[in-house]
Formats: sequence, C-alpha cells, structure tokens
Amino acid sequence: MSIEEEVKEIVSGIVHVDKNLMARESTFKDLKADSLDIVQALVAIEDKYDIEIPDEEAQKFQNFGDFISFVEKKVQEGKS
Amino acid sequence: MELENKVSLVTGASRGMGRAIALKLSSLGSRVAVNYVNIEEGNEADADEVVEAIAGQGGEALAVEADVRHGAAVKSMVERVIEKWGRIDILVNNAGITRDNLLLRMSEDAWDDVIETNLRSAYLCTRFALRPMIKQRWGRIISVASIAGVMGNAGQANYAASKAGVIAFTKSVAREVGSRNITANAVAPGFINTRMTEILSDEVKKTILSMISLSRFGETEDVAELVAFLASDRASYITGQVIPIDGGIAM
Repeated sequence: MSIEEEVKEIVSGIVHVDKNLMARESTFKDLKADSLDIVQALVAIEDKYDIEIPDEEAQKFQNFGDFISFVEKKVQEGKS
Repeated sequence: MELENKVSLVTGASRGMGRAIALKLSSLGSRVAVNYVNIEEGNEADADEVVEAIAGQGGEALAVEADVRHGAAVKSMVERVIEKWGRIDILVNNAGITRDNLLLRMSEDAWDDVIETNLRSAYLCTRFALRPMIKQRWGRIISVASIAGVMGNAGQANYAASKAGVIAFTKSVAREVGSRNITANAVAPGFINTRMTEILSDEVKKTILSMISLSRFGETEDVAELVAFLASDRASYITGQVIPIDGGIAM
C-alpha cells in the first residue's frame, strides 16, 4: 500500500468517512473532522511511521494533499 | 454489575485513598490496574496486597509500577494495561504527596516535588489514557483534588496550588473531550484518615476537627464511594465538576 493509501485508511478510521471520498484536495473541514479528530489523526500517523509532525507544520496544511506530501517527505527522510 | 467489562487505572493505589478506590471499583465489576511507585520501601508489597485483596473478593487486578511524574513511565504503564485488557475506561488520578511548610521556609525542592507528583502526573496520565477513551467513545477521568485546592491552607501553599491546578485542569479536559462521551470530574476530600493525616499533631487535629461540621475525619471508603459514583453511568451527565467530600468544611 502506498503512503497515500495508508494515510487515507488511518484517517478514514478516525473520521468515519469512506476513504474513496477523500481526495488530495479535500480539507479536514470537507471531511467534517473536528479539532480532536485532526489531533487524533496526527498522533496516529506519527505513531505509524515513527515521525514527528510539529504543530507549526500541521497548521500549514491547506488540504489533505499537503498532509500526505509532508508525511511522504518525512518518511523518506527517515529512510535516508 | 455496574462496572462490568470496564477497566480502571488508579494511580497511587498501593495504600490510602487509592487502595480504597481500587477495591471499590473492583467490587463493582471493573478490572483494576493498581499503580504504585518503587520509591519507598514497602510500596511494592502494599500494591501486591491490594491485588490479592481484589482477587480475594473475586476481582481481577494488576500491579503496575510507574513513577507518574515521568512521561515515558506513564506511557509504558498505559501500554501495559492496554496490552493486558485492551482498553482503559476509568482513570483515577489519585497519586499525591504533601511536603508542608510555611511559605517563608518552603524550599524550591518541596515546591517542585509536590507540583510534579500531584499536578504533572494528572496531566501525563490523562494525556496517555485519553487516547483509548476517545477511540471507545466512553471514558471517565476522576482526579483527586483537595479542599485545600479550593480554600487554600496555611502551610500547604505547594499542595493547595497543585490541587487548584488539578481542578482547573479537570475543567479544561471536560471541555475538550465532552463531545467524545468522556467526563472529567474532581473530588475534593477534606481530612480523611490516611497516612497523610496520621502524621498531624494532636493540636493541629483538634483545630481541624473544630472546622468540620460532622466533627470527625472521613474514611477512605467515603471517598471511594463518590469516585465509584462518578465512574458509573449514573453520573453520565456530570462533567467538569469539583465535588467536595469534607464533612462540611467548605460550603
């Protein structure tokens, strides 16, 4: 599974949204996620990939695509 | 039984109020993780005794060692409970100490020690125990504050500040996680017969008794009853509250 697929899987489990409805352009607001959902998703992703997503970075995410790109970058950095 | 299938974690449960709370929650059907810290000699044996007492009344318990002032220790304690029982439904932030002195003579060490043990521990334990509760969409966070945290108490600036901190912390948590069907409440005991009050001089005890409407110290079981009520479904619409249990000191 690609990182994008995995992230969608995790987030859909938390937000209870069909992952097929999640696009890179979707915002957390589109997904009807509240602040607790978002924090929960961040923590779950941090645990899954053993990465850190600082709050300052998280606030910059405009949409789901930004979030996935950030995770992909972090995971890549962790490997190299 | 009222707390059937529930899992509770009680900090500082090897003796005193924590012990009584652990026994009470167990008597209502909850499995109970009995936290203790290996700082003082005898704590481990005391915790084992609580586990045995619970087993003796037909319950299931687990002793978990953790210094609740430290994040890593709290994290692994929560993980152990989840590993064993797969969930945490009820967290009782009970661990606490006193290091009394008049402010002019209160050392930085005495201040930090009390704030860390009483307040920082509540933050850490709640933070880590919240995650399974949020997933479950059910949870109870019950923190043992003190009437000193409401009224202040001469000689206890550190203790009173830590308990007032616990109260404000509880209210904030209640607001944060209410939407997930998690309640957060504090109990504010007055003078209860424990080792903490045993050490008071007869003169101090006499002065205290004169302030208590019921003219006697409370028992740990009194506090345990209140905690058990707050943990139950009977209290499902109570959150963010501080409930005094002090024989009528503060009113």
